[in-house]
Amino acid sequence: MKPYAQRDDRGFLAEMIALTRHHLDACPEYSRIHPRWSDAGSVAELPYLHAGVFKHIVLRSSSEAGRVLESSSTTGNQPSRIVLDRSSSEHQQQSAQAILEDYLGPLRYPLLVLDQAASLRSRNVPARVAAAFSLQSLSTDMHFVLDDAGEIKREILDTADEFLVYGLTYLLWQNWRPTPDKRIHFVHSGGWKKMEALRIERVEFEQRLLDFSAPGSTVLDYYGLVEQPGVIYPLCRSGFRHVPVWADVLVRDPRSHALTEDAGQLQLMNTLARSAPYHSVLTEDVGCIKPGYCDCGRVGKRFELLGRLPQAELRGCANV
Amino acid sequence: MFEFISAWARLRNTMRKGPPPGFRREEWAYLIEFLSPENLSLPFQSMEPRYRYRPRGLVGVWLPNNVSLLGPLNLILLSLTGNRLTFKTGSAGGDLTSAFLQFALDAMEAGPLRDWLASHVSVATWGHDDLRNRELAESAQVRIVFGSDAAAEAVHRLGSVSGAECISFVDRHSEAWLSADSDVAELAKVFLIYGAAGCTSPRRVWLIGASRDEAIAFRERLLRVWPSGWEPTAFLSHQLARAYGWDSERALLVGTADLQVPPGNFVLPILYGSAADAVKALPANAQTIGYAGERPDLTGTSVVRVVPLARMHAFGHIWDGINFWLRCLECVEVQ
Repeated sequence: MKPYAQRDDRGFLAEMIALTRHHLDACPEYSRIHPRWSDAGSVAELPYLHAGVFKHIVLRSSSEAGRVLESSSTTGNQPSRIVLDRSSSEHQQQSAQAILEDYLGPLRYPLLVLDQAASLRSRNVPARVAAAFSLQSLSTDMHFVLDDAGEIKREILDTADEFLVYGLTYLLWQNWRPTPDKRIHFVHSGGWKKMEALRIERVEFEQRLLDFSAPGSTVLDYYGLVEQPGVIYPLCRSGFRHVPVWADVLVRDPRSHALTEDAGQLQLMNTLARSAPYHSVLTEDVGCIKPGYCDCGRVGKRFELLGRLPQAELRGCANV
Repeated sequence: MFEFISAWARLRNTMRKGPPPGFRREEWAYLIEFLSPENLSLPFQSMEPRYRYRPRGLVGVWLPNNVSLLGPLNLILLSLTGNRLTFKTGSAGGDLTSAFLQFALDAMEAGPLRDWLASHVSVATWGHDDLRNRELAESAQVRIVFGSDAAAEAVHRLGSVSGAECISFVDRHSEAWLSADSDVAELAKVFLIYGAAGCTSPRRVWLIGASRDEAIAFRERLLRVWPSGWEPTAFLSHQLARAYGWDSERALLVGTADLQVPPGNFVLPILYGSAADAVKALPANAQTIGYAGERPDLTGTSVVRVVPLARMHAFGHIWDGINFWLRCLECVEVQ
C-alpha cells in the first residue's frame, strides 16, 4: 500500500466514525469518557483521548487476549500500555513497513537492532522492540546486537558491507562506534529528552553517525508514539513529517482545544486501531501543519514537529 | 523584637508599589497583609510571663521545590525569634526566599532588622546528596522540614545537636466543607491559587446535607466562575475521572468517596452527604477543614485546623497543631 497520496477524506471520516462507534460499544471506560458523542461531520468533531490515559488504564475493545505493547521511556513514571489483537498487530506491522519502505527504498540489508535479545522475553512487548520488528521485512536478517553489558557485539559487522541499524536516539549516540568501511542506514526514534539533557542537537547527532560511517550512509529519524503503533512520521529531506492516507493529524490550541493554524497540541488519528481506542489521541507534543507542496515530492498533509508542551509550574507548599 | 515588627510593617510602604520578578500579585498582596503589626504580634501571645525566652542558636529550614511563599513567610516569622537562620531551598523551581530577602535588603531602611537580615540569614540551594545537608542538620539547634514524609525522615536521620528540636511538616490533606448553596466564588479563589498542591488546599469539597442533584447544581454554579480553557493537566484528569466513574465536567468531579481520584493538580472532587459521612471519610493525615456557614464539630478527629474557607491558606506561628515558632526559643523559668 502506498502511504502518501491524495486521501479520500469522506472515506477516512466514515472509517473513523465506524471505529469510534465500535470503541464506544466495546470499551466501557471509553464510553464513560465520551457519554454524549454520537456523530461527526468532520474529523475535528471526532472525540479524542489524551495520550496519558493509556498510562493509567489498559483499555480494550477486543475480547481477544492479544499482546500488550508498552512504552519504553516516558515523561513520568508509568509506561503506556496498548492492547493489540492479531488483526491490529498485522495492520501495525504493515503500516510501519509501508512507511519506512517509502523512505528507505527497496534494497534489503542485514538489520542490527541496538537492543538486547533479552528484551524479547519481556511479558509486555517494549515499543522499541515492536519498532525494530517493523523493519524486519525490510531486511535480509535481524540481529539484536547489544550484549549483557550493553556493548555492541562487533563481530556481526564482519558479515556484510552495508547494514540497516535501528536504535533509540540516545542509545545510538551512546553506543555506536566508528565503522568507516561500512555503509550504514541508521533509523532512530525517541530518546530526545536525554539528548536535550546532554545538549546534543539533531545536526550534531546525525553528523557524528555519518562521520563514523562510509560514504553513502544515511540517517532517518522518525516520530512515533506507542499510542499510535505502526503509524510513524519519518523526517523527510525537507524537514517535514508526512501523514499517510490511513492517518490524520490535527493541531489544537492547548487551552481551548480549538483547531489552530498556528503551532499547537498535536492530535494523531489512524484507521488501524480496533483492539483499543487509540484511533484518535491528543498528544503532549507541539507542532504545526505546513500546507503546500513539499520539495521531497510526497503528497498529502505534512507537519512540523516543534517539541513538547511546556509543563505547568506547580506552586504549592509542603505536599510538593 | 518590637522594633523588628515595626520595621517589617514599614517595608509594606515600598511593597505596595508592586512585586519584584517572581512573585504573583496575589502572593505579594498576601505578604503585605502578613506583615501587619497585629499579625506579627500574635506569636508573642503564646509566651508565658513566668518564662524568659532566648534564641536556641541556629534554625535550619528545609523547603521543598516550587514552594511559593513558605520561605518568605518563615523568614518573617522566624526573624522574630532572634535565631540565626539557614534556609535550604529546593533544587528545582523558583526561589522566592532569596528573592524576598534581597528585596528586603534593598528596600528596607537602615536599622537593626536590616542589619540582622544581612548577618543572620543565609539561603542556599543544594541537592539531596550534598554534604551541606548533614552539616546543617548537625549544627542546627532547630530543624524545620517542609516536604514529603520521606524527605523529612531523611533529614532527621542525619546527625543532630544534642537536644535539637526536630519539626516536620509533611504530606497533609485538607478539605472544604460547605453546603449546596455556599458561595462558589470564594471556593474558586481559594482553590485556584495552588490547585491541590498546597497542604492547605482543599483536595476535595464535601457538600454537607446535600443530594447528588444538589451537588451537580453546585458544580454548574462553580463552572460559571471557573477559568475558561484547560489547565495543562486538567484534561487528562477529567478523562480519567470519567473512566473511573465520576461525573466530570472540566475536572470538577461529582461522585462518592469510594471512587478513585485521578492524578492532577487541578482536579476537584465534590462529594455529598452528611457530616457523619464526611467525618468517617477523613484520612489520617487530615490537616485543615475550611468551612462556610456553621463551624463543624471535629472533636475527636485528627484535624488540627478548622477555619473559614477564606482563611484556609493563612499561615501562622502554629502549624499542623505545632507552635513551631515557640519551639525555636528556649524557655528559662524565672521565679
